[in-house]
Amino acid sequence: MNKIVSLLLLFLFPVIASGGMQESLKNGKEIYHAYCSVCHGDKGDGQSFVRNVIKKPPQDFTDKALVDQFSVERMRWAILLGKPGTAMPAWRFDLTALQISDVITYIRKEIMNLELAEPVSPEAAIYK
Amino acid sequence: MRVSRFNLFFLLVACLFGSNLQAATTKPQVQPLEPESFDIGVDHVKVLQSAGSKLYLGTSDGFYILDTLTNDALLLDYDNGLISKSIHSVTQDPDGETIWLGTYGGGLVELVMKDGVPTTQIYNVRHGLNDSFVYDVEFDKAGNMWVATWSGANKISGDINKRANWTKYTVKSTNKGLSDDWVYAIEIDSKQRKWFGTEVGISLLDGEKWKKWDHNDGLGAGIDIVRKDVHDVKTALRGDHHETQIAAQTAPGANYNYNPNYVVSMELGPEENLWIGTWGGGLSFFNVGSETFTNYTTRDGLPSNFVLALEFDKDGVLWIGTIKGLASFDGKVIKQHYQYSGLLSRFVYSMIFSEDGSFWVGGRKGITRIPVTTHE
Repeated sequence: MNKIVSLLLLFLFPVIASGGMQESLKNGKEIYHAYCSVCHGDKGDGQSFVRNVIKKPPQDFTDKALVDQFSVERMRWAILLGKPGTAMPAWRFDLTALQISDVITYIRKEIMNLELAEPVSPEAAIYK
Repeated sequence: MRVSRFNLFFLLVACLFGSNLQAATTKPQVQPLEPESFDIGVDHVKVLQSAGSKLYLGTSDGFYILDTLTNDALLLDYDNGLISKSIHSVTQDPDGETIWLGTYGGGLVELVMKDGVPTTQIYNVRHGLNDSFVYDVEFDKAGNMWVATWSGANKISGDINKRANWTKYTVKSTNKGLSDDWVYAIEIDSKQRKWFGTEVGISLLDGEKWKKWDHNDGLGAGIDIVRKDVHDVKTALRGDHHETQIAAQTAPGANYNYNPNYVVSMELGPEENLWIGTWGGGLSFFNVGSETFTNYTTRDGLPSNFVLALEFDKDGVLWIGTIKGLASFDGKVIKQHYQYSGLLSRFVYSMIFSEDGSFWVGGRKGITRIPVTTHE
């Protein structure tokens, strides 16, 4: 019985840790508007003032043609490490794994309009 | 028709870099004191600095170094490693060899010129910078670098490449000592006190102690005084953050087009009192000793209550750049200078006095050189 509970907790840990979808979306929205929207735009369409003065325009998360390219892991590593040669900075020292997963959840669900059954896990799936 | 040396100089720039730079006025110099304007094909010139014969232009479209003696000119933009071509601050390092550029979205740029060849190094969030939007850079007497960003201020002590040498000052980390995380200007007085101009007023860091002031203390004119001169300028204030800022404002009547707490420009005066240009709230004088404000608006002779730039001349006269032209203030009378506002536009974003006594004004499109200025 204890093993089953432990396994269940292990399985559910990412969801519990992130406080569920609503909590994740709430946190993600705050993070998005604190760190991301200045470049990616309030609507995530890349239509910000800064796009006119930086070397490579910020990504448009609403572009349906590009959605397939934005895997969770690609987004996670872009946030962690930045994109060299572009204005996308590395946030690995400033945002926690949970904050990063929350903002990815927000972008994917509210901006990309993707179906998400649960929040993005803060555990990176490097080898998936 | 006589083509002035400066016209030749800018024509050379045009040839070298293929910009659409054109002398806006090439008429004969029947009046030697007549201002000359030069359209260099940029949206605006945000900052001007002078070093010897060199003039530095931080523009919306790159960083220009102009040598007014040799006519050499250099434009730095994406081709020189910049991530953002919009330059919001230009600061000469006390070492005399390095120029620090604050960019809009492209971090902090270290520029070193060796044998006329520029080398750039970008410092960004991963190095310790609060965010990529840098509005001002100042050095204190101890050699520490202070950086204003949209996410608070940074102090860098020692080797800039060591993240441990970067200190962050945010509203949170200072326990609300810093008025706001959107820091637009830093001034350091002779006592090495640091003054921060933010979107929610000014803050002072004196040693380890913080103090702050806002409209409730007298910063910026009240809405009843400036109401008829509030313009529709909301396109310059965008995004949810500004919306939040406005919502958080305690100034009655604050909106996109009027925010007396928004420090757009800030300058320490000869007697180390603070002069503050606000967003629709006019020019604010802060007497540091008595901690009291005196506000000046269009009622007092300002061309506009949106004050973008401030600069003192050698006589202690304050020159004031607004969205409706240039003014000067000798401490008694504010005078508007429409004759100089044969500028390329009414917007005066930047000003600097060069060593030869010329007064350079940066606005929309380009710059204007005014050989001699007078408040009278």
